[in-house]
Order: sequence, then C-alpha cells, then structure tokens
Amino acid sequence: MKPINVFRLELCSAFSGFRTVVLRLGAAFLIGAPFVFVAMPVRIKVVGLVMLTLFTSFFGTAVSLVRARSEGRLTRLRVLPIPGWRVLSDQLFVYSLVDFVQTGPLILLLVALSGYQVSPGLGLRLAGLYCITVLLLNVAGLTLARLMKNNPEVHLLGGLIVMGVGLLSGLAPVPSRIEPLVEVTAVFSPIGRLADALERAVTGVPQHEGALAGALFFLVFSGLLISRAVDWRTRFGR
Amino acid sequence: MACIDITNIVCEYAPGRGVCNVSLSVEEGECCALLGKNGSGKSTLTRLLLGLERPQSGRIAVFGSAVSEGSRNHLTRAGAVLDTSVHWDNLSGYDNAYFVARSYGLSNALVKERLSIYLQAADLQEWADQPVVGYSYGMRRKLSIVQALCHEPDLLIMDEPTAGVDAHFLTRLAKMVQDRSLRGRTTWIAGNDPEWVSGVAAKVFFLDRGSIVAKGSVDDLVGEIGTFSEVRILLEGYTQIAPPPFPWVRSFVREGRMVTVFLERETSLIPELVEWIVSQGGSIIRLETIGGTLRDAFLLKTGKTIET
Repeated sequence: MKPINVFRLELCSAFSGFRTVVLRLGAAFLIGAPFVFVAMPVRIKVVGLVMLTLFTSFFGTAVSLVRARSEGRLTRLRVLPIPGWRVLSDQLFVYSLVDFVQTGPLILLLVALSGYQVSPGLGLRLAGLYCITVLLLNVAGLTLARLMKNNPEVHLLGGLIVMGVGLLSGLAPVPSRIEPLVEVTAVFSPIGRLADALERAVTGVPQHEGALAGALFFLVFSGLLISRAVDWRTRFGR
Repeated sequence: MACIDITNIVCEYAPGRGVCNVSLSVEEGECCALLGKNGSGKSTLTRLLLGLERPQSGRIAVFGSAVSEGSRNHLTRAGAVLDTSVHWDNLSGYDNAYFVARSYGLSNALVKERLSIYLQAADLQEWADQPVVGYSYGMRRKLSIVQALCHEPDLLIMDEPTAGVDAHFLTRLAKMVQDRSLRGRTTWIAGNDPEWVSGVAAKVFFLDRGSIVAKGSVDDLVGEIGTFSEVRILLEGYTQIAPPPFPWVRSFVREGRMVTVFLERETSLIPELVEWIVSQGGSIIRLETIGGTLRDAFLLKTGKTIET
C-alpha cells in the first residue's frame, strides 16, 4: 500500500514491519487478555476492557501526536498543500482504526466466549457505540495533545482525565455522595453506555433500542475510512 | 513580477533574535540566497515565508498571496526543505518521497517517473526501498531535497541545503538550481556556505542579528572588497592582541591563532600592521594577502566570519 494521503501514510507507518505490529498489538493484548480469558465477575471483565479502550484511544492518540509534533512531523505536513482540517481528520481516522485493531478483537472475543447469542440489534448498537467511543476519545486525545507541550504533561493531565471520565461514566464505585451525579453523567457518557451494552451482550440480555443509530454510525464511519484508504485517482486511471 | 515580496517584517523572539524590519523582493526566475551566521534570522525568515510563523508586523506576499495574513495558497507552487530533515522513519525513502509528491497532486505514473530521476541524481536509488531509520544524516538531507524538487515547484525554498551533503550531489544540485532559473523558476536558499552559494545565486542578502546588512549580486558584493586588502596572519601562540587603532583598518577578527584583517589597499600599511601585532607581543608565523570571495565580503560587511 502506497502512502497517497496522510491517512495511508500514518497507517503504513503504524503497521510497517513485524516488530512494529507486534509491539503495537501485543501490549494491548497482554493487558486485555486476562479480562477475556481469566474467570472473574462479568462487570470487572467489561470495565477492564472499556478502561483499556479509554487508555489506548485517549492516551495513545495524545502521546503519538505530541511525539509527532516534537519530532517535527506536524511541521513537515504544514508545509505541504494539504488543508489543516484534512490532516487532522486523517490523523483522527487512522488513530481510531489503530485502536479498533488493538481493542476490537478483545471485545469480540469476550462476547464470543460468553456463550450467549447476541441479537443483531444489540450487536449493531454495540458496534456503533464502540465506534463513537473510540472516535470521541481520539478527539479528546487530539485536543489534549494540542494543549500540552510534552508527553510528561500529557501523562499527568491525561491520567487525571481518564480517572475522572471513568468515574463519571459509572465504571467504578463512587462515594455515595456523588452517586446521583454519576447516575446522570453515565447516561450521557458513551463510555458508560458502551460498558452497559457490552455487559448485556456478555450476559445475554437483549436490547433493541439504538440499533438503527448504531448501524448508521458504524456504516458512515466505515465509509469514511474506506474513502480515505482507497486510491481513487489511480483506480479510475487519472 | 516579484515572486516574493517582503515588507518591513518583524518577528522577534527576543531582542536580536529573529528578524527585525526586513524588506526584500525576489523576482520570478531569480535564485536568491540568504547568508548569515547561526542565529542571524535566516531560518526565521524562511519559516515566515512558508507560513510556519506569523510576523508581529509587516507583510509577506508570495505569488501575490498574503502569507503574513495566513494564506497558504503559495504552498501548492512551492517545495520546501526545512532545516531539519523530517521523515516517517519506519517507511522507506521511496514511500516518504512518494507521499510528498502525491500531496502536490501528481499522478501515480508521473511520481514514479520523477522519483526515478531525482533519486538517481541523489544517489539514493539503491537505498530507496530501505526504511529511512537506517539512513545517514546526509542521505536524509538529500531525500528532503528530492522531496522538494520532485513536483518541480515554481518556488523552491531550501534552508541549509548544503549541511551534511556530499560535494558530488551539491554540484548536481547547483546545476538543477541553475536550470530552474533558466526555466523561470525561483529558488530561495538560506545557508551559511558562501562558496556554494556564490556559484548558484544571482542575488545575495547578508543577514546579521535579524537585519539585512548588505545585498546585491555576488559580483557586486565581492567587488566591494576591491578597495580593501584581506590579510590573514597566523600567530605562534594565543597572545591577546587588541584591534589596531588605525583608521585604515576596516575589520579585525581573531579566531584562535588566525587573525583576519581588512585594510585599505595600500601595501605600505602592512608593515605598520605587523609592527602593531609585534608590539602587542604577537609572533607571526605566516602572513598572506587574499583575493576577494563572498566569504570575505561577508566578513567585511559584518565583521564576523561565517561558519560552514
């Protein structure tokens, strides 16, 4: 695959060579595998994988982007005739795609090994929520990277944000005083909803609402990724 | 028509750092060079030209579009070599160059054709499929230059193109720049290699502490030395010697054991100079008078030597 745009450039770079691929996927797999294969309460398995998604998507993007900036790669892109929004959206898509490859298989494995048949409605809702969550976390990661000067700053502030988001999404027990607040925020948090949908899928509880929206988002997002991945000019002989 | 038009540009990071009230213009098809010491403002001016920095005041227009006001239109017609070579290290040199060329809208077939020519010219053909992480500094620089040349831009902007690059490629690059000028394409070079610059640039600007201290063609600038003699004196030791207090001494620069002096062209003055150095406790090993070069012109104008 030749790098014809920023999306394909970053994708080629992320998966160039056996060593890079093993390092990129291996770390996420090693951290996530216990939540899939080791016997433990379903809630812990679900929260473990959602937190892993939170870390890889949010931190991964922020750290990668700050490194790209400090190495001068963003400046290099700025002197090319590529609009800023295009660079940003391509980076967003490619970092999201990398996150799918890192945590998506683990989530699929968890659902598959649960032994329950997942209804198409819940499956589509889960897929849509997963895509939205990863995309939003990447947007947050990009924003954090823009605000921070270096990676130690990203780690410090990012750690606090991940902890806060995790708590407000209802992923971890909170003091009774703020429980009513968390009940409200968890409803609006895609992370909380993803955990909820995943728990339902793993415990065999059906759910149909949100399937259409999930399917629509999944399709649009997949379409966008494909549109950036295909070399239309060469394909149509221009 | 002016390809680059810079008017009263100010972009200072600290007093004496950056550029201060610089105005210049470069015509289409001209090759201009900015010469200066490290920290003289060459890279700042180049970054301003590329739109990577916003000036505090003044105006920069490239091909008529106001870069100083955030326009990026000129980038479609420009190719840039930044002062640091930045690549996606785990991709091959070919893939890095391919990406840049395609960014300028070149078709797949044209990119292949051009890359074959330019990679060959840079002696990178056999390394093209290797990841850039294994490239030497000079190879990275050459790859950056190939990337900037591949789409044959109307304006080529190069910051320190000679740094770390072998003489063989520099000769080829000089030829390419001359060919560009013949075809009406503009080249901007920011560097500190007066020997190479004097072979390619039609117009030279000397930059010192963020300001232009002299400008003109190589011949004009070197011609100005004509009324002066450059005398290089090698001393035996590191004796401290005060600058001679004579009105006919234009500049006196001491670097280690070497003293470079510009004085009015009058052979009878040299014995007086020698007498002064000896009176200061200096012991002379060698003394020579030198013909004028761009390096000498820079020294004469700024009172500073230029590093390469």
